[in-house]
Amino acid sequence: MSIPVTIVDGPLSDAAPWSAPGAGAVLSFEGVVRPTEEGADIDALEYDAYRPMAQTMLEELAREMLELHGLEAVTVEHAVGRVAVGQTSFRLRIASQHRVEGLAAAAEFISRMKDDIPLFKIPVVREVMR
Amino acid sequence: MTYRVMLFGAEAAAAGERSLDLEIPEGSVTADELKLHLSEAYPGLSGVPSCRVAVNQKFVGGDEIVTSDDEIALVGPVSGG
Repeated sequence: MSIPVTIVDGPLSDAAPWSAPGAGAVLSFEGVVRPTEEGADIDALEYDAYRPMAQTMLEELAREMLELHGLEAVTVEHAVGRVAVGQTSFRLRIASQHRVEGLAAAAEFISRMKDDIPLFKIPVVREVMR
Repeated sequence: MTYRVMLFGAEAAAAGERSLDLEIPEGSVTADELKLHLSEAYPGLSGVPSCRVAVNQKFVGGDEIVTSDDEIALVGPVSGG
């Protein structure tokens, strides 16, 4: 089964309704750019990626979560480039038979992504007019 | 030999480049030696010691051999999400 993993230029667009046959729980997690980063007001985050390696690693991690947690389906989207405050930079969707395995898979996926996958962000700090 | 090292995120911003060419006499070095050469050649890249090295799109340990024919990336702290 192929797992849809996409790295897209710019912020993610709104998600279309999604589910999978056999699923009793459908989770959608979105990472949204906060207005502050380490105490500083920002306008945006500039995302960078080692794109082919990140693509492969996201696919491998999604497949591992699918098999380890017995999920029905997983999709992953991540932005590169400029993502303004309030816009979506990351979306993970998981369909599972029950909520427990889906929630565990979501937490593990996000944690491991943040530890290992070559995606980077640089804050675009808001300039204060004096 | 010329080793081309790809940069991303903060390291690319610090260097003002997406890749750097490193001249090393030896045809192969370890990943740790490559980082030492990089720090010597580009002292402005202060984050090199805390970066990982990826070779042919896989993270490698410090003792792994790297050659000038490899696809080499310097990977700083990651922050997806």
